[in-house]
Amino acid sequence: MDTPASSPLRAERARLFRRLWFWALCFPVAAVAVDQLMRHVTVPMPLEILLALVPLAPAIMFFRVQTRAWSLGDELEVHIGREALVFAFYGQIVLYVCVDLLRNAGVLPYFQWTTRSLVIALAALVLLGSAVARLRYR
Amino acid sequence: MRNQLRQRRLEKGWSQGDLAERLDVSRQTINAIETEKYDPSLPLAFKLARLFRCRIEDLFDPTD
Repeated sequence: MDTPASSPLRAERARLFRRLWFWALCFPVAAVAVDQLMRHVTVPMPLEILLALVPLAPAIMFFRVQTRAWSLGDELEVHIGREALVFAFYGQIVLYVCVDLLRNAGVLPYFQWTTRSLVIALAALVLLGSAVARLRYR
Repeated sequence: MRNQLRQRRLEKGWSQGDLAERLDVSRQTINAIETEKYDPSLPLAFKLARLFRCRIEDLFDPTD
């Protein structure tokens, strides 16, 4: 999306976009670092719980910045984002049911949905929904 | 919704980018409104009317 760079609102949006990417990258880095640390180092139980929750901090910051970016966003971008979320929500349900039906019919091998696979599928559907909506408004 | 945004913009000699900058929206939003694929929100419609010194009804025609 091309946005004129001159207004303060544009500068604020650009700054939020950079912060969004920063926290989005921090989350997996923190998650992997904590995972590796807990595999190789034995820590007492209370500290283990705190350590396991460390990746939550960048995730919360990501959601905070995303919410702020949403409120400042260009109205068409917000509209496209809403359409993408609706697409992903219903798409996830359809995908889940389809996989289940195909698995029961023996077409697909045994497949167990995990939290990770659900989140990845949801993220992919949001991106797909966003791309479809952008094409419609081009 | 049908609108006269493109004609009014061209009368002023503005590009879509110029108009977008004046309204603090993206060029994509202006293009979507002009091609009648997207209807602006009420605040944006008022901004447009104020910018072109006309009424909202002069810019947008809800009848098909």
